[in-house]
Amino acid sequence: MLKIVLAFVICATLNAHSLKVFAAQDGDFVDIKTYFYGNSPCKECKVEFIKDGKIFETLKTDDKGELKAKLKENKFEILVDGGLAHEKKITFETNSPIAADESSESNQAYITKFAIAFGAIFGIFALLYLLKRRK
Amino acid sequence: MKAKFILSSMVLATSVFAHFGVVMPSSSTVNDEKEAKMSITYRFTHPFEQMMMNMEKPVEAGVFVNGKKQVFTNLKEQKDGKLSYWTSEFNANNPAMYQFYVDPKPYFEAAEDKFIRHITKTVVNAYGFGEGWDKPVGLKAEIVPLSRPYALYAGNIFSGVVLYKGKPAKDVVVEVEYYNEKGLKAPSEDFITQEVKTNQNGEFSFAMPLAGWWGFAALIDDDESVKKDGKDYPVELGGVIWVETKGY
Repeated sequence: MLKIVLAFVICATLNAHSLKVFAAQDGDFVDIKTYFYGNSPCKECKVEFIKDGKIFETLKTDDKGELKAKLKENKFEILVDGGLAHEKKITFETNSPIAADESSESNQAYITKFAIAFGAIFGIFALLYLLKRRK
Repeated sequence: MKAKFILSSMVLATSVFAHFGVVMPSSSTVNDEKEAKMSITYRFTHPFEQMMMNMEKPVEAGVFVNGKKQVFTNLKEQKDGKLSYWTSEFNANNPAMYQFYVDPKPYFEAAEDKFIRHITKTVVNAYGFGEGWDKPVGLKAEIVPLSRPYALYAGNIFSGVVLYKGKPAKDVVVEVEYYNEKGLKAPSEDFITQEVKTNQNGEFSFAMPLAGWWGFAALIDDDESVKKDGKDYPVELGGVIWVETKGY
């Protein structure tokens, strides 16, 4: 009986303290405000930035429950962990497309670029070697 | 003579119904960016009968955002036939408690030999902010909610305290009307305007049986008068609040 009552109390608490996440673009940054209903800030709460199911950045809110983060994707999810089963996920989309950040490029693209650069250097040296041999 | 009689009868007939200042935003809650751009309508009307009255340009209209006042300069006159009402646009782009208000130009009610000034407000909660709906904003006559004035279900009770010049006003009549956009018919005229009175602490309560907007007008005899044609007339000061109820 006590367990049931306690469960009710916990459920009610969860509702009354529902976590809110508000995000707005500010140039190349996203301003995030996290707070519980009644405007109590979600202090130093973990914030994960997720794209295609993969976390690409993890940050924390400050003492005011706020966070300013550089935009690295045009559309992604923001997951805030407020502890004690308080989690809130929102989808964020920029107003205007941002230039892709190198740090958010995929490994495949990085390897391709590296291979092209390496191939170009090898090609130049090979050409020089061939020219020398002709002389 | 006959025309005069008919005209005066019409004036008296319309004065039977309660006047209400109206401040009506697109919604009493803002939950996402799509709802952020709000349109606020200001009217002077008999809400249940949907009999509009002419509203001159308000003396002041604006919003208190978490207690800080912003006066609107973007009021637009709209016409409903020959009668004027007003609108403004506002972007609720931050989590906050928005208290929209209007202080109208006092209206001379010839049938009652007095001026009517309904200072009206409506509370909007944006992005689940949830704090500050129970704070007075400092209007001369004001209803301060004791029940949260948004996200109410039809059937909920709305309670408030009437303040006049910042102090609770006891034994004040609070008129209540439904903003009847559905064309509902009242059983008789007595049902159109509901009435409750404030207790010793200036508090009142009322259960709202229908989904929609409900207006509460606390009517106070003001300590100021308005001069017209060399004569001083008393002012009926209304502290008005509008709250929205919804169904499941």
